[in-house]
Order: sequence, then C-alpha cells, then structure tokens
Amino acid sequence: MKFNVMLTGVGGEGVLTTQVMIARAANIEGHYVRGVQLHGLAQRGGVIPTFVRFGSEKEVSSPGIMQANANLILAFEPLEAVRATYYARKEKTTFVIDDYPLVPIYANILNVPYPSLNEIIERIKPFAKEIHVLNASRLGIEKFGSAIFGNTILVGAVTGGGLLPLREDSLREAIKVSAPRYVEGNLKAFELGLQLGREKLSRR
Amino acid sequence: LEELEPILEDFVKQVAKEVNPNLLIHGKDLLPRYDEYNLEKVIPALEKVFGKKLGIDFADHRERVASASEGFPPRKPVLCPGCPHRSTFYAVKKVFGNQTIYAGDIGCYILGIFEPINMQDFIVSMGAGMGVSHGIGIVSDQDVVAFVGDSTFFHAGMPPLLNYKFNDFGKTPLVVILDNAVTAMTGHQPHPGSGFTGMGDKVEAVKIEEVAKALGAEVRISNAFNQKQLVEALRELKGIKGPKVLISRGECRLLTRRKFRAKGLTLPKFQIDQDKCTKCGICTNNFACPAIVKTMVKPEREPVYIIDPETCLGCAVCVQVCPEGAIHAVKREGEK
Repeated sequence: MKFNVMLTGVGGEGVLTTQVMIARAANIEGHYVRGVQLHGLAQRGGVIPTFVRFGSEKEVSSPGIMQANANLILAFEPLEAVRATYYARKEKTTFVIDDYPLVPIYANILNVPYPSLNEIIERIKPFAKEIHVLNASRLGIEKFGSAIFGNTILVGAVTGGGLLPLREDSLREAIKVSAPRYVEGNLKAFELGLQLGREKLSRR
Repeated sequence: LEELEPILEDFVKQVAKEVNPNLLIHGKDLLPRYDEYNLEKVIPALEKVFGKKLGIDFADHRERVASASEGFPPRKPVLCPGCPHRSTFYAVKKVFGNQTIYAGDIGCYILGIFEPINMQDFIVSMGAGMGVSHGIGIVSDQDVVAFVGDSTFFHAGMPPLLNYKFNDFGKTPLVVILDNAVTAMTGHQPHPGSGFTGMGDKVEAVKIEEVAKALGAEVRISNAFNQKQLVEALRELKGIKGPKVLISRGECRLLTRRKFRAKGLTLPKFQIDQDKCTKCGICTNNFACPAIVKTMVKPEREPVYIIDPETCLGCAVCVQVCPEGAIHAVKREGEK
C-alpha cells in the first residue's frame, strides 16, 4: 500500500508541525516514509504546501507527490485547497478542508474579494472524489483557546473517519514527540477530532 | 539530473568524451537551467531520450488547475503581522515618497518588493544595495535610500559605509538599518549584535551605532514601532549631507512572541471601534497588515474592517496609522 498525503495552508497555521506529526506516526507503524516541506519566504502569511508519502521502501522513492496523485489533501485554509488541486484528481483524491478563512492582503489591495465557501467547493469538485468541510479551527478556538489546535483536531478527524490509514495510537505517540510542550492540549484536541471524524466523515 | 548550472555535466562530458567521443550525454539539452526537477520535468525528458510516450498530459492538468483558481485573490508572501519592517517602510515612504530610489538587500525586508510597499527597486546580493546606491546617488537627482538588515550590515554593509566616507561626492544615500536583533529570515540565528553565539553562549553584543559612527556616519536611532519617532528621525537625516544612518530598532515579533510564551504571557490584541471607523482602507490597503481583514457583511454587502485576534501580534503600529483613532487595545480580563 502506498499513500500520499498533501497538507496545505498558510505560514503560521502549524502546517509544518502537523506534517511532521503524520510522518512520525507512519514511521512508528513501520512504514517507509518520505516527505518534503515547500517553505521559504513564508514565516507567516505565505502558502506552505507539504507532502508525506508512506508505504514500502520500493513504493515510496521520492519525497514529492506527482501532479494529480494525492490520496488525501488536508487544507488548513479554504482558498489554499483550490490551489492544491494541482495534486488532485477526480478518481483518487479526498479533500478535507478547515473552513476558517485567512484573507490574503491582496484581496483588499487588488480588490479581488475572497470567495465564498460554496464557490470554493464548486471549483474543487472536478478534482475530488470526496470533499469534506470541517470547523476544526473554530472548535480549537472554542474549546482550547487557539485556532492552532484545529490542526490536531483535523488530523484526529481524518483518522477517526478512516480517511488516513494510520492507527490512533501511532498518532497519539507522534503527538507526544511532535508537540512536547503542548502534549495534553493536543491529545485532547486529537480525541475531539476522532469523535468529529467518526460522526461526520465515516463512510456509511 | 543536475539542477541549475551544468557544473558536473560539463566536467563529466569532458572526461567521458576523451574516452569515447561518440557517447551520448543528455542534460541541459533536455532540461531547463531553472526550477526544481520534479517528475513533471523529468518524465518528458526521459520520454525524449527513449522515444516513448507515457501518456501523461501535464500541461492540460496545469491549465485546468490554473482556471480553478482564476479570479480568486493571490496569496503572495507577506511580512508577518507585527513585523517591525512594515512600520519602518511605512514611515520611510511617508517622508521620502514614491520618487525616491529604494535599494533592497537580502533578508525578510526583500518582501518589501511587493505591493503595497514597493520599496525594493533593485536587489543584487548581500551588501550590494548600499554599494550600488552610492553610485546611483552620484549620477541621479533623486533621493536614494538603502535598506539593509542588521545581520546583512555586519556581514557585508560595513565596507560600503566606509566607502561613503572615503569617497564622499556630496550625495551619499541614507542607509536605513532594520535592526530586529537576529537573522530573522533564516530562523533567528544570532549575529555579532545579538549578544549570544550560535552555540548559545552569552557574548558582548557589538553595537551597530558604534560601528556606524566609527565608519564616519551620522547616526540616529528610532524605535521601529514608533511612527512619530521614525518620521522625526528621517526628516532630520534627510537634511544632512554626507554618510547618514537610521537604525530602526525593533525586535522580530515572532521572537518577542516566543519570549512571551516562554514566560506564560500573552501579547496584547487590538480591535477596531466600528463607530469610529470610516472605512477609508488605509490599514488594509496602505499599511496592509495581514491581521487586518476587510469582510463583507450580508445582506447589505457593507464592508467591515476587523482585526483577526488569531493573527494579531499586538505591535500597535496600526493604532498610529489609523487617521480616525479607531483602533485600540482589547481589554484583558479584569482590566478596566
């Protein structure tokens, strides 16, 4: 089995930490893991596409995902989900999108309004097998005081919903290593995500 | 598969062709000198070598993706919310306007190349901004301002500043040193002015103002988060002939936040008083902090300007930029 996950979002949202979390969990399960983070000019505010690929050593030989070949795209920001369609195709890709928008300053400067969630979903449809929208960041703010916990909630959701083929325990272990200073909060956020995923993402 | 310049390729060709002049060696004939060699680049090159088609239409997919996001706002890289550089750029533009030549250099402030800042007219290599603008100052009637970061100044800005003094043709540029205390762009590494080494050992910090004075420059120092102080210092320096330096000093806000978090403290947050806001758009379109968002409220589609508390890092510069005095700190729990 080979699985390609793409994570995208805006610098500062915790995309990089979450990517490492998933990579570690896959590694704990004995998968051969490769991945890459395409960041540079974006401490905060720029786009950060990252990849995790896992499977057997033979199957996973390069860190990047080829065009139209992601199994799962986790978008931490709705607008960036549209730009991630480069890695998606109708037969293969499931999108899970956090509905918390981060409006780029260019929407104001160039007077190009930020699109509605419906417009965004319509544009993604030709590239997606399934599209799921969750309110992970909002839950993070509501339950844990910060949108940053939305990432762990989202990871919990795709795990609980069976969209990320990794075991819950491997992710719990990975969280302990990846977010050492905020373990307790992140583990709680993960449990909340699992529940959310079982309710909203599980295939009937 | 050698990305960028064909260094290995040329050497390999040289050695290999001595042994067998008929050997076919492909490289830059099939692949570009720029960009990352991902599968989209490598597969078509291999198809040419082997004369086979794998049947993947990369271009078609690329076009479909481009049309998917057509009409949606772009997300170019921006200076962080709370960045001291945004404040400095804003004050410099206020004093020097759009007809000044702005030299850029290597650091976070390279992002000043984008709108609405547009204050990096040329960027060559580390320290070149100061050196090149020295020459421009001699031949141009326009004012010249050279931006340089603190670590770049230590790395490559001292020789050109000394040269301003040595070869002073009566029109040296103003140097604005953006001193945020660390090498921010690459991840907060220390420099001689930081006060600690790469190993984390404490050392005496070299003071930029002392170095600049020793190299013959007139020096002013301003708090990078204080618009009034910045504008006053810049106006004063504008009238001075000869080598002149403004040190705009304000810690990288991400570093400040990290220090606050380590102590269990939170940064202040700001909000816009909707009764005072006249929707002039200066905060979003001119100052353009990513934490300030214009949203349309249905059903009237009236714009409302708000500060996203999740993004705001509490630098308080927007408070000084707002002409209506509509921005103020959010009261914390227990505060009156």
